[in-house]
Formats: sequence, C-alpha cells, structure tokens
Amino acid sequence: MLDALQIDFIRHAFMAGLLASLLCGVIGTLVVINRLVFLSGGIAHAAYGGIGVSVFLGIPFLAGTLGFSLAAALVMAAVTLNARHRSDTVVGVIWAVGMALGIVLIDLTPGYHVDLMSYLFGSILTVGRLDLFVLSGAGVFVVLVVTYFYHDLSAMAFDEEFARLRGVPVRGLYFLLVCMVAVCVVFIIRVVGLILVMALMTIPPYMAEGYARSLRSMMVLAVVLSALLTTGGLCLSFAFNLTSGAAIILTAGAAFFISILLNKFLRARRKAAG
Amino acid sequence: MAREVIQIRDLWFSYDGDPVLREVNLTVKEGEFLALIGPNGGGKTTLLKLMLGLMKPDRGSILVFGKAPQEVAHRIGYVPQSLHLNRGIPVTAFEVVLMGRRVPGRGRHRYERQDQMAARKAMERMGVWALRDKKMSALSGGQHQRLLIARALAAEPEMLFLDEPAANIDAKGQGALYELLKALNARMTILLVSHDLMVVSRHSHAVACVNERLHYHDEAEITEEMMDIFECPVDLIAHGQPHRVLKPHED
Repeated sequence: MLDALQIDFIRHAFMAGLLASLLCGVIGTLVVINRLVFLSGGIAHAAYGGIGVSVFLGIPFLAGTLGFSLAAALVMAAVTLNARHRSDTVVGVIWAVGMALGIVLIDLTPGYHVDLMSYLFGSILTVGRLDLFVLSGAGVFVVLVVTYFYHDLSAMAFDEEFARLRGVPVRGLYFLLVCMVAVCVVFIIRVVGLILVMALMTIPPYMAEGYARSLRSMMVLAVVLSALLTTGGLCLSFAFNLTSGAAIILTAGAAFFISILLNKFLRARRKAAG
Repeated sequence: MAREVIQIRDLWFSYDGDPVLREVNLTVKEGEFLALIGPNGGGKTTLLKLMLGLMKPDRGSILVFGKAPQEVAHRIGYVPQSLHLNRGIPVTAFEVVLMGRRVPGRGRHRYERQDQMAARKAMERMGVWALRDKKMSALSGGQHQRLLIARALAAEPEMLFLDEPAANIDAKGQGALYELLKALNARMTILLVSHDLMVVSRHSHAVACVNERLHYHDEAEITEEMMDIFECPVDLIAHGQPHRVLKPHED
C-alpha cells in the first residue's frame, strides 16, 4: 500500500477523496438538515446539461457546467423559496430537462462522444494537479463562508421565521446555500462523479446527525466519516481492482446500514436497561 | 393615557384568493394583555404573523410602535407554535435560546458574553437552565415550549406574542406559565393566541375573537355571541370559572 502511494495518480486519488470529503461533509450537513437532498440531486443531474452546452458551444467544461448548474440552482432556489415543502415537482422537472438537454446537445455535436458513465461515477484515478488545486480552493471558500455565517445558518435551519425576525438574511442565505451546493457538485462531479457526490453529501451527515449535539460537531464528524469511507473504499478498489467510485459508494452504503442497525440495537439495549 | 403599540386599520388578507382576514381593526395599548381566540383556521396565527411583518396584508395598514412591522419586529418576542419547527437539526437548548440574542443590522454575528448572560437569565426564569446542554430533539414538548419562551425573553422584548403556548404543557405547568405571563405583563404588552378560556377569563384584560373578522371585547368575558356566531371553541365547563354573557355587538 505504501508503495502504491509513491505513484502519482494513486496519491492524487486519495487526496481528491479527502478534499471531496471536506466539501461534502460541510455542505452535505447543511443539505441534510435543511431537507435539500432532492434539490441537490436535481442540481447534480441538471449539471449534465452544462456538459452538453460546453461540448456544443466548444467552451471549457468547467465554465460551461458551472454556469449551467448555477443557473439551474438559482431557478430552483427562486421557485422553492416560498414553498419549501412543495417544490419537489419543479425540481424533478429541471432535473430531467437538464439531463435530456445535455444528451441532445451531445447528439447534435458531430464526432463527439462523452462517456455518460464517467459523468455518473467519475474517474478519480485521472485526477490531476489542477483538479486538486480547484478542489482545495473550493474547500477553503466553503469553510470560510460557513464559518462566517455559522450562527445564522443554524438559526435559519432551526426556525426560519424567528431567524427572519432577528434580522437573519434568510433569502440571501438560502440562495447562497443553493449556489454553494451547485459549485460543490460541479467540482466534485469532475472528480468522482454525480452518484458519489450524492452519496457523500447524504450518508456521512446522516450518520453524524445522531451523535452530534451541534451543527459544528455534525460537520466535523461528517467530514471525518466521509474521509474514512472514501479512503477505505479506495483501498478496497485498489486491492480488488474494482471501479473506485462504486467501491467508495458501496463502502459508504454498508456503513450507513450498519450504523442504522447499530442505533436500533443501542436504543433497544438502553430501553431494556431502563 | 397609555401609548398605542399596535394600530391595525381595515386589514384584509387572503391565501390564494381565499380571504382569511377581512376588515380587521384593532388597537392595542401598552401594558395590555390581549387574548386572541377563535376557531382553527380563523386567522389568529395569520394575524400574529402580519403584525410581525412576516407576511404582507392585501389591504389596510398595520403600525407597531408607530412603524412598519418589519422595522420593529426585533423588539417583539415571538413564541411560535412549536410543531412547525425543524426538530431534526442538532442544536442544544442553550444555542436555541441564544438565537433570541441576534440583533438585526449586524453583518457577521457572534454571541458575546452579555448575550450568554441574558440567555442564561431567560433560561433560569423559565426553569430550564438545567437543560442547557441537552439536544433539542431529546426534549419533551413542554420543555421545548419553555425554551421557546426563554428564547423570546432573551431578546429583552418590549412586547410578547405567544401562539398557543400551553399546547404541550400539563395542567400544573400551565398554571405556572400563566402566573409567569402575568408577572411579565407588568413589564411588557402581551398578545396570546389561545383556545384555553381559563387564561382568557383569569389573566387577560381583553379578548379579541378572530374568525375572518375580529371582534374586540375590552373585558375578559366570554359572550354567547363568541360561541354562536364566531364558533369560538369555548370550553363551557371552564374549570368552575364563572362566565358572564355580554350584550351583543352593536354592528
């Protein structure tokens, strides 16, 4: 294993996994407690439209996808702002339309084929130095923003109306949050694929939620769990020559179900102990 | 002559075209203890939210402390119905009460030592200081309710709005709650949404019955009309409280 770390692409893969864990642990926590999982899934899928636009117009992938995803995210945020709990239909529509648009635009671009699989599962083994810089930048940005607005984000998640009365800029924060999700999703899709993004944004925060007493501890715990799961999954994928994205997701999924069973067991034992 | 802290003139409000409130007029004076009663869906909570500036009326005007509600809402302590809150989020009781200390207009927000002291004072007053490190999701409905009142008090408000504060509290706790509200009323105006007439008859100075329209009674009595025309959920047993019937509205 230590020998393997000497190889650039393997070292890069581990570092990408850790950086993705940082982003997903922090943003995923906010996504989970604000019940934005479906909306985040919508952004992640609609991002495929951005890939289509980039290919069709011949502009760089990152610019095209980022622009498209931010636009889709802003539309979703505007629609869901006042009807947070009845927004799933609109999100579902944008989700589907984004993907379809991506596929049609790629069809219309002669001689070009984008592998849908690499978009879904990513290619963590091809991560380069530049990708790592971009991911680190996004990580620093997200941590700074969340630290700055920490108390307001917490107040908004707990009781939005009361937060508004105390002067929390709830609308602005909601847009900011949705945009951060979009940025995160785009950068991470490039590296690990859309399915892994959703797995990392939901599984570690969900597992952390039961043990955390504050938002901050939930984020830290989610980042740590996520780092362990991605590293573990990568090790498994190298050891057994498996597709890395899928190996990470299965590792996370297994941990998820084990933690649910463990919680059930602990609760039952506490009850039995009286 | 006490200052008028709330002035509502010809207020109309509708959700998706269905009128919820119509022709509402209301004046509340400083130091008053007003109970808002009425059937479910009658518009009591909506009226509170309009007074807080959380929603905008279709027509008419609302002045709170002589200004638009949005400008002065932070001077009001608001205790919402607890069932609408996000109980899933990991947050301790102390953190929730601290949320009452946020001040509008500051960019980045941090809680200072004096904020922590004020939060502690409010929690001690509500008898929930011992719960400070507990997670909100682990607390009972009654504890939750007391913490929300502590959060409102932590802001050191000039007026207190409570929406069904007794809903999750047992009879003994309710008695204590109303005694506390009475004590607080010496310092601040109180508006209370309730369907418990015991509090109405015992503690409030005035009753407003809200069912699309609003009828104001400056004595805390339950009238036959409230029961019949406005279908207020009157508990006629009223725990042995006498209830007098006032003469009908003259309109």
